[in-house]
Amino acid sequence: MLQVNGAGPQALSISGDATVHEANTLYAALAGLSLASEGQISIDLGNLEAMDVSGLQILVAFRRQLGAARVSFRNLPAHILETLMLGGMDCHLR
Amino acid sequence: MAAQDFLKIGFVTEAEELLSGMEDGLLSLESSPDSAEALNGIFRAGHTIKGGAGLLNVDEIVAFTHVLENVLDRLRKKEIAADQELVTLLLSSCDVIRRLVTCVSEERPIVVDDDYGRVLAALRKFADATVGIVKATAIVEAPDDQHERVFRIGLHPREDLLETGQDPLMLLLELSDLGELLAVESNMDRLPPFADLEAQKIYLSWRVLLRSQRSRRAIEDVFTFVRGDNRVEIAEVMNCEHFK
Repeated sequence: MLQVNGAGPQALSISGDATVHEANTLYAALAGLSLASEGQISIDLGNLEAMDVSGLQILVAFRRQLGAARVSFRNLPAHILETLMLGGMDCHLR
Repeated sequence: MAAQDFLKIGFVTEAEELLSGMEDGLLSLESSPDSAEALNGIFRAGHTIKGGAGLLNVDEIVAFTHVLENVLDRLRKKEIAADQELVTLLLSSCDVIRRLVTCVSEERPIVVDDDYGRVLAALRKFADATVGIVKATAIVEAPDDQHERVFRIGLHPREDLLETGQDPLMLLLELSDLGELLAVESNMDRLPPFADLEAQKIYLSWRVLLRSQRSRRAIEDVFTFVRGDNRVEIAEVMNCEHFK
């Protein structure tokens, strides 16, 4: 189960499964944030349990929309990083 | 009656019996979660259904039962526990297979619905992640020879691949079982602006260099279940024997 929680006006925590089954939920949460935010946005991924290609694409598209300098991803769990590395996709979140 | 019709009738009849047996076995695990007899029976049933579906080339059932079989194998080896969550998931798996078998029985097109994808994704969480999820029989064949080759593989999946329960990362995991992934590049050039993104679609494509002693056929078999409109390009780019 995906959960997206605000942790302050410029911070967000995403936990659970960022997979295709929860993709619309994740997209809607980030869409709302992109409209409401100014300045830097920090997204904590420390409690993510799984992420597939759909979750990654949403995060990358969100950061492109706001500008890479404004959005930072923190605490990506090692097991998800390994999966992204296998798919040659870790570079997109850096 | 054609031989294929005999096969189909036999498969449907046997699958229905095996599914009933699997469900009885799964329900018995609620009171006896360590019953080797029940666990082995459930595994054999799943394995047999997969084999029958393979004979009839029902790829959707083969793909699904492939993952299911891996989970059942881990279960009987006591690598994972038959807790309530897993038993419920396995019972849902029986429902999914039964619907697919009904399609075969009624000669209707196989419908891969949301439930198929949801249950398959849930099963994959219990499957063995270290050796790859799907290891088709054809892949474990002996190599054609001992020569190492390097294959260049392009994978351009259909946009709706994830919605069918398939995951390109699982395909890459399988490729990694066949040799050494020398390079994996993902391409996001097709990723649209955030406002235009359709969350469940795939916009990525991949280019892979794989060094392997396996045959080209073994590489092709990894993509057996994602052919069709998915574009997969496999080319042998060099023979490592030349460098020895």
